[in-house]
Amino acid sequence: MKSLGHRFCLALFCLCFFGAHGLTRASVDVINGEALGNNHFQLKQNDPQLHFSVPENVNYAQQGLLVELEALDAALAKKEYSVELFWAAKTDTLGVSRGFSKQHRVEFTSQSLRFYLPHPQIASQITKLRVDINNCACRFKVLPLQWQSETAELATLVPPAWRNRIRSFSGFDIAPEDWGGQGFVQVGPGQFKHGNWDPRILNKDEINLPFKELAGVYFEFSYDVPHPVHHFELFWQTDRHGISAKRSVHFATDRGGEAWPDQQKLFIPFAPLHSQQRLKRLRFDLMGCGECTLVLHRTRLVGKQEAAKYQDFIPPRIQFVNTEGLPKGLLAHRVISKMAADKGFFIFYALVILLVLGLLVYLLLGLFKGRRQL
Amino acid sequence: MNPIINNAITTKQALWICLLLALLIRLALMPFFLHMDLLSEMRRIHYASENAVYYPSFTRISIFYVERFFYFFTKPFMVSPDTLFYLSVPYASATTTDHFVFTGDASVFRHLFLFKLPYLVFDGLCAWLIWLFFKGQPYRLAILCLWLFNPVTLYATYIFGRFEVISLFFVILSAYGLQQKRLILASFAFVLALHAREINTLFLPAFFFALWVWARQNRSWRTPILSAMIVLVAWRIPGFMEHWFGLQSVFIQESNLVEIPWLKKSIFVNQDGLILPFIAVSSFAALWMIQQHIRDSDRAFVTGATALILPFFLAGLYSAHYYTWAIAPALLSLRYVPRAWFAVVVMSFAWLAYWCFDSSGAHFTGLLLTPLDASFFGRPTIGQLYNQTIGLAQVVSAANMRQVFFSILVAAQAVLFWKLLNAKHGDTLAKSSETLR
Repeated sequence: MKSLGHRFCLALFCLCFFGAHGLTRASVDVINGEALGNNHFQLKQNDPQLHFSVPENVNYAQQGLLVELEALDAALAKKEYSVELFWAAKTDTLGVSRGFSKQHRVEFTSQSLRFYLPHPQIASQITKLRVDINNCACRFKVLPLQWQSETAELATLVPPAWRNRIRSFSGFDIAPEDWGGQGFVQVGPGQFKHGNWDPRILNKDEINLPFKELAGVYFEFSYDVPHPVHHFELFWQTDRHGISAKRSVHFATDRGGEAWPDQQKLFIPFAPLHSQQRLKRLRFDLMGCGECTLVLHRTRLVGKQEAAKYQDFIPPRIQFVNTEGLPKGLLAHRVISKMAADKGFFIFYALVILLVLGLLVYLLLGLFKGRRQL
Repeated sequence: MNPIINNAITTKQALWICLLLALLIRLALMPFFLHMDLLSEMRRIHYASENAVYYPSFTRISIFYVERFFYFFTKPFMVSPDTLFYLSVPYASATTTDHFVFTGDASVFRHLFLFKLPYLVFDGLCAWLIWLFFKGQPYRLAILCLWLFNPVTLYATYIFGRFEVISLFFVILSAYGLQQKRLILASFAFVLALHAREINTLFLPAFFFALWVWARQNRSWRTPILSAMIVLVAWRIPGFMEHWFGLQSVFIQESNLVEIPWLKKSIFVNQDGLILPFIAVSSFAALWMIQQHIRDSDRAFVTGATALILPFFLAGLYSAHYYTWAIAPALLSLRYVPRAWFAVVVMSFAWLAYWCFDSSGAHFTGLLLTPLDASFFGRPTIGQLYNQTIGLAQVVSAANMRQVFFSILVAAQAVLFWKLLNAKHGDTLAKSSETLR
């Protein structure tokens, strides 16, 4: 019988070995293709799928998953492949599209068919992976999946769509330099002097993320407006529509007799917009003020993972103007909820209506009664 | 008339049923519709009230004091007025953001109800005056119903939320004062009307014509001259006050300054073609009336006012609520030409159809419903929906239909205009009533 120390040494050796090499082996299955043995696969033209069962990442470090496929047909080796990547975590409900949801999908093109999926919050939760190589009908060798920490070389293998996915999941800051002003004179990165009575700022680089994958936008700024109430508007440009008042958010902040805080903090959630479009640009309009200076301390597109932290900064009386893609029944629900929020008035209002209606019915009934008597 | 119905429905019962039904419609509309003009109005009143402003500007001061009076009593029931009605002087007109910040608050319904209370009261007072004006006439309940269920006044007051009924109350009170031979009352009422709405200056010649008729009939010039002096002096008082006391308007960007400032700008100036037919038709009416030898001052005023306001709508309807200016004089004129009631009905419903076919979304638009939900903003208008379906055929497009209904409206106006000018003074009302029966 081996001693306890012997067993411990063996376990430590295994851990060090796998940890050092970061090598894990995954089982691979093919749909709409043929397994040729020795991890070689022949894919068909229509919707071929390689299904990986991803072993647990034992290191729990800041790692990512390296996926490598090797083209066996030399003529096709330099081709640009159209790849769709699906994943599923332990907590995901499977059952859509053979176990994978379209929500957990990115699409990209790849020349080398080597791609790296960084980020612990997503990658380390993946238990199943599906790779579709479309319109190819060619042979591949699938190399073992590897957990690896991100390096400069691996960073070049990250599909752009995956990067976007990470940004929308965990949020990202928009750099002060990325904001430009209209009706403002820019005096430095994120610093603006008032120019006219309709000041606004908008981001220069396109964001290009689906609205539904973002939790909202967060602003932290100083604006030395003398007014006790301050009105704001937020507009957005999408892949389909330009900036319009028909797609806008309006709200006001009230300092309530106090001085304005050094930094105002506002979070505008995107969920009430119900937009199915891709967000390109944001425009934030501020209340006019002749001599005021705006300093943007921080602007962040908040990811869904961190949304809870920002809920306290949603301004009161925020009004979302969006007429597209509203779920059925939502309008009635919103109207009823709004009415219910002022119960006192609606109880009074209902009593008045009932009184008038009652008198009217009483008179009409009396009228018909009188006619019958005649 | 059917004796059973005659016995079963007394005038009193029918009156109460009509009043209650009219009240029910008004109550149902009050809390749910808003146009930015109403919010602008309330922001100005709130600002004036909070900052002890008693002279906001030289226009519409009668309306200002009425609204401020009601504001004093309704303020305790308002929620966060300092935030919701916040106004950065001197820019008094509400912006889209002001509108949505206001409608975004759950208290929007109570505020709209409270804002429109003075309008409900003055609407009721207008109905009461119309009832009195038609005293002794067998068809007066029908005329009252034309007021109570008129789509123009209902829209202007409770959907668009404009204060026209306050101004119209003073116009109708002037007519009633003249009818009761109380010239001083009529003069003060007319001054209040002049200070309620700029358009009422259009009725100034009609009022002086009525004074002249009164003087001629009673062979006394003292009271008419005194009345005329009251009107002229009181009309110019704000101008004198501004000159002597150096008063200035608090608000410099009011909507009223771009609508009809003393008939000089906006409509007449911008629409070069309108001024000539207006002057031609009005002059024709004036000359015709003078040679008609009208003997009642109230009739002179009502006929003159109607003959002046109808040509105003020959070239267009401008803003939807403006047409209330024509509806009140037209209704009063039925005292002298009751058979023209059909023309007033056609005018009202042609107006409604005209605006329903308006696809621009300026007046009959989802914006008015935004107190319920902001998503109504930007939804297609009735005219746009029509154009997407039936109106696809160019010949029946919304734009064409609008013109058709505008033409019908002008035709109905012409009928009323002609009947009114042609009515002989000797035509007794009883005779007209008999014909009606």
